[in-house]
Amino acid sequence: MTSLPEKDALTARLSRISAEPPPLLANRALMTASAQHKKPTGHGVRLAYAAVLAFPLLIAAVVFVGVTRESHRIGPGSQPGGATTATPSRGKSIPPEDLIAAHLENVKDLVTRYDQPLSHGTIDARLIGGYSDAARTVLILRHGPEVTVQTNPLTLYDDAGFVNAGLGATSAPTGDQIVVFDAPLRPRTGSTSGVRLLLSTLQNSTPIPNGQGGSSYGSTLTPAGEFDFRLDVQPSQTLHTPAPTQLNGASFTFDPAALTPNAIVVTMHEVGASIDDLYANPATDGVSLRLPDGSTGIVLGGGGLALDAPKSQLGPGTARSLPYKGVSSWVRAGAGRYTLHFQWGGGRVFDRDILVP
Amino acid sequence: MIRGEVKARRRTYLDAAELCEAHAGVVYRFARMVSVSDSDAEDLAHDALVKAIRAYERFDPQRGDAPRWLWRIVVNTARDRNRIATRRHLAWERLRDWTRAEAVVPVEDVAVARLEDAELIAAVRRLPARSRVVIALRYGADLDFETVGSELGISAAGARMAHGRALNQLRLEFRKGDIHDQPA
Repeated sequence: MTSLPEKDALTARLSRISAEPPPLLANRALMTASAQHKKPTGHGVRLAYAAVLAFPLLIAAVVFVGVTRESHRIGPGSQPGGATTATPSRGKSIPPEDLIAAHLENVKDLVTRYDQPLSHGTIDARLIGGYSDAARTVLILRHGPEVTVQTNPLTLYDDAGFVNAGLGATSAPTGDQIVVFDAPLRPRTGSTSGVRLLLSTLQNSTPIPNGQGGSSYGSTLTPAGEFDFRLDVQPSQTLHTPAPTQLNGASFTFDPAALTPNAIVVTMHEVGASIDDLYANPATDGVSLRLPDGSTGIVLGGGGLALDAPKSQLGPGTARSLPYKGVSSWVRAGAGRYTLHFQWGGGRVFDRDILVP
Repeated sequence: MIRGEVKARRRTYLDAAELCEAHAGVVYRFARMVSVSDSDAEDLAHDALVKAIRAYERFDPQRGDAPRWLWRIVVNTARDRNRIATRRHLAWERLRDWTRAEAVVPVEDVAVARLEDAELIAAVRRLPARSRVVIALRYGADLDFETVGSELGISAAGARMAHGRALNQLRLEFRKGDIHDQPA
């Protein structure tokens, strides 16, 4: 056995690896913990949560006072309500291609348009449209060609706190990003909710010199920011119901016929996600089969449903049409009713009742 | 000095928010080393911090200091997500390692010093699971060998030996990558 000195060049370099956390990591954890936990987690957490909320509100109030802003619908809809968060500004028209890609062409009059930049940061990304009804919340983002919105770090909050919803994203032909949460907003009163869309990172594909005479990175993750705005919730659902178990652009389907004598099979289909959705690892938090009392019966560890298509093999034209499918199986449980429990990074969870005959 | 580091060194916290802020950076650094990607690492760090915040009411300072309590949560979260192998698997890997001859591969100090963080973490991610975890606990979480050993179910001396083997494997990774050929 060779014993190495503790402070040679390699260990010294390892000790110098940056411990700078991603922006808002601690804040996001506090907000998620507060939103998930009905029981108060302590005076300090509540104070921190209040502080986290107060700062953007203060900024929003300053912006609101200093800048004249108006909100407009694309069509003859009504104005969004009061302003506890930044009010949507006069937006430019949303391209028809975006509305088609978002499946909103039949309700275009109900889409609120914005022209709101990210709260902080130098990234060229803007919120340009939003729609919410009883089944979904759709947001349309516009950004420069060098920027890619990553869906994994996207988190949505409304008047009731963290929105536990599946998330899908796709790119319109215009390059605008369509983000769909399969849950409605929950206004505190009336039909208008304050909304915060948190983007902890964006992927910036601009090559960056490595300081050694070359450019070693094709892309970097860039600290992003958030959008604070208000959005009306339509009283009825006028569009088809989105897939209820859609997670980051992948939909999980449970096929009862896939119950074999020995196994339970879960199939995941890619549903038109962007390239980065394919590159992401959408099921690292794992899937479990829960007993009726809520306890975990069988656990499938993280990564079992991961998409692992190499990014280099995908092109912009092929990403959306890839017939990509992942299949995982468990040892078959005994007969009875169970809950198939999906847990997602960022605190999102989904449950689907199943019957094992 | 990174925000919160002073409080982390002081090891006393007013509440979960302060604990979270003080250790978010180190938790993320650890998560980067044991995860397959940075976005996965952020998810892991986020979820571990959420668990810690939610459990902070039950933390009893009489039974140990807050950082050690936090790291137990972080490591368990990583283990739950299969980012850290089980103790049984680690024991099997250790047995397998015993059968392999070890060789120290010299790596130029200058080249090592020039490595970017991302390159270093990428090399760590390519290591076998056990070595990756040892490096992540020692340098990502900045834990001493006694605590590293405790997390792996081995003695402090065993952790030190595993650490030596992991460093050797990391040097081999650099040798495969020919880091000396990078432009100056």
